[in-house]
Amino acid sequence: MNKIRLLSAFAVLLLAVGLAGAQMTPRGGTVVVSDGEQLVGKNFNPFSPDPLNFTDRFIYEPMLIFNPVDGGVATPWLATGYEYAEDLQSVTFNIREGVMWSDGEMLDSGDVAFTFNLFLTVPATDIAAIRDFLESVEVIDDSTVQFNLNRVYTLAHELIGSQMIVPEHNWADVEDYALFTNSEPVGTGAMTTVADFNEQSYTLCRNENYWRMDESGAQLPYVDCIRQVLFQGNDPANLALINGELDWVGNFVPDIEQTFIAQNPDKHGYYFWPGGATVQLYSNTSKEPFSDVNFRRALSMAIDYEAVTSIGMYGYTSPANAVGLGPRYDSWVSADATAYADSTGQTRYNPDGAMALLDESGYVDSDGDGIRNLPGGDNIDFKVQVVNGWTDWVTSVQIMSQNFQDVGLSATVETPDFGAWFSALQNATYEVSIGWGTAGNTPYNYFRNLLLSELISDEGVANAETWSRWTSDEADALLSAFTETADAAQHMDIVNQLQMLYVENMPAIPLFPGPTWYEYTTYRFTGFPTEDNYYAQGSPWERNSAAIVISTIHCIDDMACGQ
Amino acid sequence: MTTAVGKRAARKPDDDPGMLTKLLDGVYAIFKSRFLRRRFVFYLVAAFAAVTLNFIIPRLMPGDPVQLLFARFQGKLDPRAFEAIKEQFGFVQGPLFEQYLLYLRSIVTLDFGPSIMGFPVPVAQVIGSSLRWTLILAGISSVMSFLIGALLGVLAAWRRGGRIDTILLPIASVFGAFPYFFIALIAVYVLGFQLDVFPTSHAYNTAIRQDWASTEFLWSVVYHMILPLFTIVVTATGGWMLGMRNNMIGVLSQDYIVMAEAKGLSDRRIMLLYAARNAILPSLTAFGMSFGFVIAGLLLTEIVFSYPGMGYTFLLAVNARDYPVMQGIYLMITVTVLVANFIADMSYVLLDPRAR
Repeated sequence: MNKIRLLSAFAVLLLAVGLAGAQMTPRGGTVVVSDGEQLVGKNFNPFSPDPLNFTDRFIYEPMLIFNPVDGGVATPWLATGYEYAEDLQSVTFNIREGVMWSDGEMLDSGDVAFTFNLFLTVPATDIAAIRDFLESVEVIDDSTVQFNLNRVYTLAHELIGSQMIVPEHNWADVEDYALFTNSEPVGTGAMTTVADFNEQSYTLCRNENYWRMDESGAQLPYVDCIRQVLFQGNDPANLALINGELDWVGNFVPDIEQTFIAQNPDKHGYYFWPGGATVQLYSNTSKEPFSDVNFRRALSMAIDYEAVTSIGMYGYTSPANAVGLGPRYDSWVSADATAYADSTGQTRYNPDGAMALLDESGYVDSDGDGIRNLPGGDNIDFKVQVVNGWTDWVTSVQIMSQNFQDVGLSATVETPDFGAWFSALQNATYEVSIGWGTAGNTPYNYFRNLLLSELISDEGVANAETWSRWTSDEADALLSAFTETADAAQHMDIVNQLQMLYVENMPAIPLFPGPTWYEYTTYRFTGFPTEDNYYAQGSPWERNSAAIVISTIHCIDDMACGQ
Repeated sequence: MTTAVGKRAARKPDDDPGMLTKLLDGVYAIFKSRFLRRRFVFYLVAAFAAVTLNFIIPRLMPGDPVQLLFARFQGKLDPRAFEAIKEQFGFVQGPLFEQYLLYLRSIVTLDFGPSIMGFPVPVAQVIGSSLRWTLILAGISSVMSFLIGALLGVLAAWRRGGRIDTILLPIASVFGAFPYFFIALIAVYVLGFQLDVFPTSHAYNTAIRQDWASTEFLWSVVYHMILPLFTIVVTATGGWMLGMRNNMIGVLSQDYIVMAEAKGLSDRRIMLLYAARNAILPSLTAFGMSFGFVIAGLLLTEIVFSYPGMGYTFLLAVNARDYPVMQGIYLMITVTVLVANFIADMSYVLLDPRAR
């Protein structure tokens, strides 16, 4: 009797000590998000072109997470690790043990093999083009899967590791994978229960079986639910953000210090990490005078980059370096390429230099009308395109076209609608245009999408960002060499050479690294990434980061936790 | 007063059979009418032409849906995925004539298949959820602005030079001439944002469940509708008011009005049953026609108030070159406009014997 009483008293004491020792993170609450999603259609099929945003890494998860702030280093997720074979012809992933699907079944290597066999056998599901390099999938044991490649391709782990893994027991009987909308998803993610769905919002709630725990052993996520609210464009969403109706947003907000922060500096926060793809000025090198590298170089010297970033972009970013690699790729920037750019003076504001270079290259005002002429005699007269309504870019382009006029070129701004603009870029019917670049774990994707000749189709359609149509055998060779080695030093060397090609030939003029839009309010939740503690990219549309953020934030008081 | 009521009640039994016979005569005339038969053939041809144009026009826009899908991802979708997307979007990639036949079949079966921007969600679902809100908001706002406008127009004409005519009519006309989005933005900014009296977005509070049996939900719908409704009615009333007033003035100079006055009928009776009843006919026709365009949606209202609806769905579809969704919405507009016109034609036959 006594012994038992003593024991139970001891147990109570231990429990009390334990509770006092571990600060319990408050749990509960519904996070309200607007990440720019606009269309409703109940589609949680991760292999359709544009499923609901939360499908990705909230419902389904990949084997690896590539957090953009980690410089391309993979975070083990559903896999605990991966390893290439000696001959680089295969890569083996070790599947995490103890991960449960939201319906209670266990995840195993069979699910992973099923997912990749789906890509191999049903072309419509292969939205990531895995078949391009994957030959076959082998289950080694319950927690090991080997991927056999059809060639040496050292980016395989990035692509394989980023695919959403779907449950075999739930997906094997689907009749038509292309038309499958998966309205009752079963996933391994943090938020798998579809609690509400209508034409202006949808709500996902926690997966009671979620596998991730915090240091104290408490199950993640701390929040109960997440609601995506749809807005008809940026302005109403920004109004709701300023009103404190939204917790987490990824929008462009003009003059944010005044319009948003000043409303409540304690509870409103933002950080536009300049880790996005570099925004560039493209010119159509299949047309005169843009085919002349000296003309492109002169253009790059005519642009007032400070004015573009401080006025057009509200000071949210700063001018790009000469090689177009943003702060995310600092360690990759080539000293040789930078020195070359310094010697020519390109991509630095220097109107006199631009005029001198134009004169020297034969683009002089031969008929005295104030506008420079082509050597053949025609006035140099071109349109700079920008998408109608993209106000930050429109202002930037207006500044640049003024800059071009200042050096004697007749440049006017044209603002077609998105579809017409994109079609002009792809089909080479434009002259000059502002456009995005590609961000990736390494600078490889940026150069590949800009320079790889096979991205221009036989019919002449320029895919990805090959809009300038400047290609070379040398660039093609470097790009394929990059994927054939896993050696970091060789990667660095190849990227150096690509940067050298870039500065010598100027396929595009780098303007500024893209700011990544991200705002948050702390009326109800805390733990969002801040400039000082930027543990992941804040933008809710960056899905790798979102998977980390959703399991980090928590409610702050009883009211927020009860919602 | 009492005598008037008594008279009306006493007269009713005589009037009713006469009215009914007249109405039946009219309906008979509609069926017999050569005019209408000709019109019907015209409508069939017009419908076919419209349906074909609905197919051609979206495809004349530069840019195709698959390319634009890649554009939407801004480089995040690998160009190598092209093949998978083509595989999925096979239905918009075939030869044009084949697509046209498929399109005609989809009109007959009313099954437009999967949408492109929300692939593989069916077109019916993409349109369906927003159609409900368009019908509610557009229906209530057009009936309200028509009724208020017509009534005020009648009163303005009846007391020409009175306060309604000289003060309210110019004000309403000025509001009607204002760009709509300007008034809507001011309403959102002042009433919604600065004073915080009304919500600034959505058709109901997104934190509560959509449940048409719950009073909390219904109240939220009403509360969210006040501001958009107010802005539409304020801008749309002026047009109806002016039209109605001008019609009324024309009618008031007719001999039968003088006759009615001479008979000593009450002002209200002359105004509403003699004058307004005739004056409203042209406005009613215009109202019927305007209903067709309501389907296309109140795009600006939807954008300013983030109100779910067809207008914005249509805009998204155009931007994505989502042919199936565009075709579905076009078909609805075409059918509504044609039906409204046909009803207007029939009412002409009913009202004007010369058209028979």
